[in-house]
Amino acid sequence: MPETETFYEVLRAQGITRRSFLKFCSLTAAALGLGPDYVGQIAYAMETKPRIPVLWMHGLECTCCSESFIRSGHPLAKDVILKMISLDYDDTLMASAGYQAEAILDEIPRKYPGEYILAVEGNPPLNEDGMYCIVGGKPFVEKLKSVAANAKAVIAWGACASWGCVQAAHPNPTAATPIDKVITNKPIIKVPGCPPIAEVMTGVITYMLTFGRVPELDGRGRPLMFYSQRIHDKCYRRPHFDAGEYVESWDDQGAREGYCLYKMGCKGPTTYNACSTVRWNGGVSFPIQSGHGCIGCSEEGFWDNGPFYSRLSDVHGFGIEANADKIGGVVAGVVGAGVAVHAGVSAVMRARNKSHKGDASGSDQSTGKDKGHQGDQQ
Amino acid sequence: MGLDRGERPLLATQRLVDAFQRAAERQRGLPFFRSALAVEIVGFRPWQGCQAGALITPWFMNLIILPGPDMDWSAFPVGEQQRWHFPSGSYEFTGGYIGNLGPYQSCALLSPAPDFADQAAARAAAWSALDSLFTPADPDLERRLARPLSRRGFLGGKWTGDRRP
Repeated sequence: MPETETFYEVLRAQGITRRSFLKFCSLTAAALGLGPDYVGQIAYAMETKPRIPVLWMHGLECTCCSESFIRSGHPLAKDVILKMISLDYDDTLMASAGYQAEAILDEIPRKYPGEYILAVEGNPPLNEDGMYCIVGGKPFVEKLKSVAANAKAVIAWGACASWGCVQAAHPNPTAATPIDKVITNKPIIKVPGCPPIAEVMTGVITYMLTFGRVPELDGRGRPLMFYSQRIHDKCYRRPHFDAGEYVESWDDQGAREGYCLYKMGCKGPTTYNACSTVRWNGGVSFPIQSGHGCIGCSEEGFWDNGPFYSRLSDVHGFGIEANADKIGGVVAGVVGAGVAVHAGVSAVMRARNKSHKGDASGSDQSTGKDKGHQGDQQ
Repeated sequence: MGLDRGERPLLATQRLVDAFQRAAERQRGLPFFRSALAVEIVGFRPWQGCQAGALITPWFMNLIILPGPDMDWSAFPVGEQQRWHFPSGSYEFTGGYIGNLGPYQSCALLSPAPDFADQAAARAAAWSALDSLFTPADPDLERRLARPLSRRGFLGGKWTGDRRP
């Protein structure tokens, strides 16, 4: 890796114009919920800061996180986001192979101790001394620990690295284990989802490059900017839930009218993710918009959280977490007047747009046709 | 109760209550239905030519905006979002349509409602939500509220610290 190279230099070398570069910076700022004031800061960081070395390791996983990441919606991101970081090792994407490739895993931690980011897709199985996942002749768990030892921070991509996902579902024969149980002394940013949304993945990386620190995380290690609201909170079908209008069976009149999918097993009310605001495929749609309930893929243990098509019945697990983070221990009990005041204030704070765009008018009549992509999400 | 701050009760808010009381019949029996709560409007007031306030039901608490008397929102699609500016910041409201009321817009606060001890507790939450909606944001308070509270902090009563009454 040429040490002085910045992201901007790489872009220019690829023939990207400065105009496109600045547009990329402003779209990124919007996606992160930052105001126009931050566009300059992002541009400055990309022009001046050397790219961050990133080692991207794969354990037990299906590569859907990588698939999502390389399909980021923004045209620049699609081609160049991988250049923003110096992706020194990724066994799926890199050109080198064999000893040459594995040597990088020794070289980067030695050359850049405390400076590189370790991104982990998948998780290590611990049974039989880690023999269920061997990479380059060694158990994955050993490589993971040794590369993590000198990392600045660790990103846990997807449900596998964050919570365990399908390989950790009951009875979990290989003892597949989320990475925070193996790496205990580094900041870990969990970006759950199966896979996570591309814009969320690139957003997290851009934030770390621009500000040189880990984004603000919730109590369970997820970036608040993308995981502070449930699918249910911002779902465009929410008015039908409020009005008690449900799809009762597939393809009934309610389904054609776009009614709420709660009775068909939608896990939107217990799932923290940005799907209903950022959406997928460049903001085109998301599962509920295509007529299927949310399966809750970004939640812990989602394979064991009951059948996808059974309605949620655990009332305590239904919206209560929205407050669990804020009110600590009290949520399990009955909410009296004192805590209720706190709940009211917190709910309004959560609902507020974090973006500080300076709209001039009292209310913004340009309604959300473009909202998915423009990143007015929380 | 909801109109006890000097606002005149208006027809539209009554229709809102009626419509959601009817919806309550459809929701009764679903696991998130809190039978201790009743449909109630809280703190409706004129706002940018419309009326804004909070709505408590046994299954949610939302901010609601009702169109003003000379406004026609019938072309505003259900599920479409519109941004509104309040003293504390901007909020996205989603278009809805219900029963006799017709079109309205709502911004989700709590769903389902937490296990409020009684209607008075829910009302207190609604008033505090409206107070912070219509008051310029206090970054200090917000920073404190945004932090997850430790068990020790909770037991030490930190969550009550200079909380507004």
